[in-house]
Amino acid sequence: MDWNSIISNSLRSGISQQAIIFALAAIGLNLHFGYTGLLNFGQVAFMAAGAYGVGITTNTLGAPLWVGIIVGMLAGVVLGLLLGLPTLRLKADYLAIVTIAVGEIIRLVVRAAVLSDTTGGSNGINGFANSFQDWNPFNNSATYGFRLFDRINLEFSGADVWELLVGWTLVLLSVFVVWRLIRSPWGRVLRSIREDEDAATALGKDVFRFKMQSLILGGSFGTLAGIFYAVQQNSVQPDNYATQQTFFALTAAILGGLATIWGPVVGAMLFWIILSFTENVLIELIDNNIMPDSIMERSQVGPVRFMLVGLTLMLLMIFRPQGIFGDKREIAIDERK
Amino acid sequence: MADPLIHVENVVAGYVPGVNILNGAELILGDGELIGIIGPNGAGKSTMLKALFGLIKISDGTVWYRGDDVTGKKANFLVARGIGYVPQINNVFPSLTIRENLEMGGYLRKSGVAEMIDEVVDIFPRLGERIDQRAGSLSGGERQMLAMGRALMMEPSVLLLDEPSAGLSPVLQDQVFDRVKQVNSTGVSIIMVEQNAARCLQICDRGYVLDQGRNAYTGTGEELLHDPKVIELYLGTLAKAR
Amino acid sequence: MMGLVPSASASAQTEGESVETTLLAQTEAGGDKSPVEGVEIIVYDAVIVDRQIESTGAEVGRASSDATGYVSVALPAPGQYAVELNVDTLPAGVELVRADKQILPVEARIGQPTRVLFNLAEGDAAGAARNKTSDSVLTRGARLLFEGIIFGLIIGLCAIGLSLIYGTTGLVNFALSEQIVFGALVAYFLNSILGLNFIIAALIAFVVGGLGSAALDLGLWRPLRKRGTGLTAMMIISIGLALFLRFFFLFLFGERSRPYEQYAVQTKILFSVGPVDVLPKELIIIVVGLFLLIGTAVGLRRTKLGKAMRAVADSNDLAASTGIDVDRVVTSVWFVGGTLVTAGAVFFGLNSQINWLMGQQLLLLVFAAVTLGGLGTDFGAMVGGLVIGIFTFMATLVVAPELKNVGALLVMILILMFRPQGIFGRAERIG
Repeated sequence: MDWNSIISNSLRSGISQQAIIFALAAIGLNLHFGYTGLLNFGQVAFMAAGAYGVGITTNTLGAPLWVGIIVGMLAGVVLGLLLGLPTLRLKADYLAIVTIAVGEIIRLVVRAAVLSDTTGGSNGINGFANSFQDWNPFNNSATYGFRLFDRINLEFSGADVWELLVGWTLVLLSVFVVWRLIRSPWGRVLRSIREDEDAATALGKDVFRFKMQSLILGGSFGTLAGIFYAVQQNSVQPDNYATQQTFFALTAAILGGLATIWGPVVGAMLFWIILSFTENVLIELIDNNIMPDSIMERSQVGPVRFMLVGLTLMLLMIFRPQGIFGDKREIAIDERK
Repeated sequence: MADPLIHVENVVAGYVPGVNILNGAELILGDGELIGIIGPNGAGKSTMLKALFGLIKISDGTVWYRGDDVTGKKANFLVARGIGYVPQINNVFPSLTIRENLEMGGYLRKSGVAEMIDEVVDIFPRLGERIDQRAGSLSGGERQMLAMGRALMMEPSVLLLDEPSAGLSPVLQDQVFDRVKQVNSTGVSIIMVEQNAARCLQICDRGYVLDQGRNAYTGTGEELLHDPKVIELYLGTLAKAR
Repeated sequence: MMGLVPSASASAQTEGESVETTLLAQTEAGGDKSPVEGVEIIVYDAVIVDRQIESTGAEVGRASSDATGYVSVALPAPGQYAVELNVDTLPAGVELVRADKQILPVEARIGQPTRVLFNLAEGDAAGAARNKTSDSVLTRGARLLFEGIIFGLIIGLCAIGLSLIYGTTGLVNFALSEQIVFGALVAYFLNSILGLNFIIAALIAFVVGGLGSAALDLGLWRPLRKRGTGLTAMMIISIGLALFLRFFFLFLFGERSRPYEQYAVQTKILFSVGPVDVLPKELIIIVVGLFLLIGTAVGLRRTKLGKAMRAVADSNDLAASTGIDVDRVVTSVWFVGGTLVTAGAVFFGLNSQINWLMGQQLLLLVFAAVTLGGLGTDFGAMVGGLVIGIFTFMATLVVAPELKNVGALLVMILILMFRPQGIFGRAERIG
């Protein structure tokens, strides 16, 4: 058992590009569900809107990357409007079902062969974000970082450092935005909507408008996650935008603690640390023949770690819905009668 | 002396732990009696019925039924033992027909459901006319009749009625009170909670005035109707005029 | 590459994968078939989605049929391929019955031959066969309508299951998708591994699926209700359960799709109604499916337990105060719902194949059906299922098959915008 590499891989996952993507998506879900009580189960639709917004604008239409990023963000806003108009007046579970459906519609449409001239079909769009690495001030052939206790490798390539730097900056900016907004009068209205929509209406607040703003803003963090994912991978793949991504991000948000500022970020980091740790330990067990093939083969490691995600989500909601940092009184899960 | 049919003894209960609506309420129901519970809003009238029917948790005190301690027993146990309950709102199954509503009333019966439906329809002929229509299409008064009819399906010894006249026009209220009296005259003991205190006390054998979860006054219907304090506090000047 | 979703590529390199077929041509309408020799098939790399070829790549190999009509092409690895029949090599008079079936998708299994089937016919027989399957919109429409009805029955069965559970408990049960997979797998285990007759396997699976569902209620949902867990929390818990079970089934079953042994190969046509050929398995689905749907509707209206279920759906509290044991009725609903869902699942597996994602593929369509018909109404769910099923298939007349689900989901969103209580739901149920 190579514990050094297990720990190193787990820690690296905790600050990896994946953790950044999940942190951004979870920050948005937290604004929706944690602060406003909106059940958006289609955060992945916002991610796809951002990713394909960039991909199509730069690759298919040939615009520069920064234009693509702006178009991607706008695509997310438009999606929020389209999604919110029919659903925000309905019951919570309808919003949940519609948002899932929209996410799936987007995935099916962008992967359709008939649209492959625009979206690349199931092959997706590749190689449109080279200029992102052109802006990289770090040396790609050098490594940065250090070894913890001389053993645990925390060194990264220049490309990685650049991506992580940009990504975590985005996360911090997003956290700052949410922090300011939640402390503002606007944020208090959101929380009052979560607690009692009718009471907020009775106080003369246009609940629909506030919900819409929350949906669009929270969706924009998801859009940002999608754009970062696309640019960092230099590729958009339709099947990376499947329904369960939203649920994984939701698990991360709940793990950290809904209705808290740092919960989604810490949740996303922990989510990937746990996932990576499980995967690495299982692989080591199998490779060292501690785990016999009759019980588990290497190809079955993937399913097992996602089983763990499902189990985590269940157990959290049953025994600790407030997650690590949350306050049970702030969790809008027992609102419905 | 034989045990009373129902004896509520010093009951403390509420919806949320720590917030008690009832603070030591007392009630005795004798065989064949029709008693009324009146009192101001929030006095705990409906809570009293719910507590004795096992719908909310009783934190202190005892409910006796025919001499047995039935405190905290579940509704289906009490129904089987002969207690029927008619809630104030949502008291019919709207998507079931009237016949089906009555059948649900006789859910715990081993036999004789059809015969019992005939008997209920005899008391409430209006139900018979619309027997195969959805209960959701009934008017407020008709729903109240149906709800009472459904509770009668088990041939209960005791019927608990929660504000049967609520939301009804005066004419319909009169009809409902007539039916209550009629049901009582067939030997069913009744505890009725009412907002319409004066009307209630006119048909009741005895009445309880509840205030802040405690018994404020008790007496026969007649006594309470003419008690100056009760008139002033709970019946209002209108009652005096009547 | 940091794939978030388990990759679909096959992992193991094993000897012995191949594609094989036996080319037989129908000599007269409804008559015998004779082998066709010297016909070439060509195999390409391909990407296959929902059993449709999405794109083809390099040629992998080709071979010609022998005197028995048999032909086999070795493959480098398990995975996805496209198999083309070279029509130029067909002997005179022999034709492909369906020109659009010249290239077939293949998901090659590890270490064993994978069979494909080309439908060939001679002269008049080809004409007769083609008349049934030619591309005229009317005949295609009729066939699609028929397939849509079958699919609609499948969706309807699942939708009633979902709707019953929602009606009595208020829970939007996302784990329904995995109850679907569970039911299909039980039948697969009994039929393909233990070798039981399919009908018997299916009947046992119905019961096991129902019991599994009731066990979920007893072990999970009922204790949560007793704790006062909110419905939103329960919905999220059902998502967690769905993820757990989904990947557990992947762990057990792998990524491959499998058919039920007994119906792996399309058997002969049972009878035809106009342009529509009815296969035995389709008849099973229609007969048993209708029986279950009608049986449920009648049961809910005529039996004491069924009426109690409707009463509990109307109001838990009132049902309790009339003496109904609500917990028992709810568990019974989970049993009945689980049985119906399993029936839908087994039929779906029978009609196409079983795989670990089938539940997810169905779930949104089931939601669409229930929304369309109105949450909590059995009749609505049934009709909603049929409408969605037919709509999904008929949509392929105008849009690419890979987009057929999109239309159904859009319809659901439109319904929610303009008539959120569904077509048969009553406004009083909303809000």
